[in-house]
Amino acid sequence: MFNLKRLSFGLFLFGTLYGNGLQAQEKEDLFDLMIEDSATEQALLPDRIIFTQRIFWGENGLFRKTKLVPLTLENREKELKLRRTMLTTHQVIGYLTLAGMLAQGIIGGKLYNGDGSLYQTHKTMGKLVTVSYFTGAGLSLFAPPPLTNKKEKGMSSIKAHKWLATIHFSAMVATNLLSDQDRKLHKAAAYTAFVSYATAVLVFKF
Amino acid sequence: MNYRFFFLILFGVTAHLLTAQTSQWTLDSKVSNIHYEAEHLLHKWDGKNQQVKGLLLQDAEKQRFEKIAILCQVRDFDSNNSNRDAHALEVLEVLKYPDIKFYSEQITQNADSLKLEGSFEFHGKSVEKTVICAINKSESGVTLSGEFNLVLTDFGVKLPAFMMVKIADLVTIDFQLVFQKAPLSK
Repeated sequence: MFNLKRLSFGLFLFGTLYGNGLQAQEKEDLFDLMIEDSATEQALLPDRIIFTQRIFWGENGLFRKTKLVPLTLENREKELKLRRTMLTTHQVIGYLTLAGMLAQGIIGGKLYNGDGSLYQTHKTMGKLVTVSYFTGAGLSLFAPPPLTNKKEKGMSSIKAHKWLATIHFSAMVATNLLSDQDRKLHKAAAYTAFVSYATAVLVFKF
Repeated sequence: MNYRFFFLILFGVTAHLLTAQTSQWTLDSKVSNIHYEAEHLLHKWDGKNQQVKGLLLQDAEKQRFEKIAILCQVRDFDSNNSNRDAHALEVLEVLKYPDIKFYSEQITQNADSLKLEGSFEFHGKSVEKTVICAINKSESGVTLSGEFNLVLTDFGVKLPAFMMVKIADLVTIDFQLVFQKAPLSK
């Protein structure tokens, strides 16, 4: 009799639970059902990473190989905060560099028009702008990579920003290399750097 | 023996009655989407998620919807600007909070609209929200569509800034969710 009671109770309980099925599905059950259905492991790194970032932060980058910053979810959370700080600083330094370039353009123009007294100021300003420029560039080039880097069709503000970066980076290198060699080419390189840099700042949108 | 027979019958009847009362509608991700519009002083932009999941439970006898659960991943929003999307994932701490959920079991059904009183879970916070949506029933399924606003700071989102100006706190969401009467495919 005892076994029969237990069996009956078990059957009743099972029947009730089974019968409740969908109707008794609570919030979490419903979401679990969908999460199971779409469960995919979160990608920690994007498919495409620029080489300056890959060297340090890629799956086989220096920081991973030396186990200084292993590729884990917790570390990536910290890396993304560092990335944000680096890119915000990149933005602020970018505005300062642009202001410096503008001032340098005015000083340089006067110098070319025969005001020799500004030569030392032009040189000092040039060094400051160069340090500021390459610091800003380094903050972007060596920041930890983003979580996603999708390929885009057509033109976008970030694409224009990156293409212009190639131009002003080359022009900045040329400006510095030519400073004591060829005044005309130095001037042309400097103007190219300024125009492409200013455009890169202006085209960038949030 | 009689007891065993009695409870077997009870089990069968209970199971049949209870399961027969609820119909499950599954969201068709291929034809559904959630779209947002956001704003900065300098410009507006928008993005779309076309990989939404959802379930809608209906009392089959009364033909009334009882529960709705919508799930999408922050990563799946695409604004046609990879840099912006990457930035959004950082701001929204997507590694910690990958999902956006809406759940309601207080559904008021009218002839051509539904009032959903439920909660949004986003960025680790839960916010109560009422969403009114149009309902369109056809042979192929049920379509819910509508628009509402969300306040980002209600969810603890730190508003990102560009040129020292923060983006607008209010985001407009519109959606088209198509449900079909079928269990969730595995």
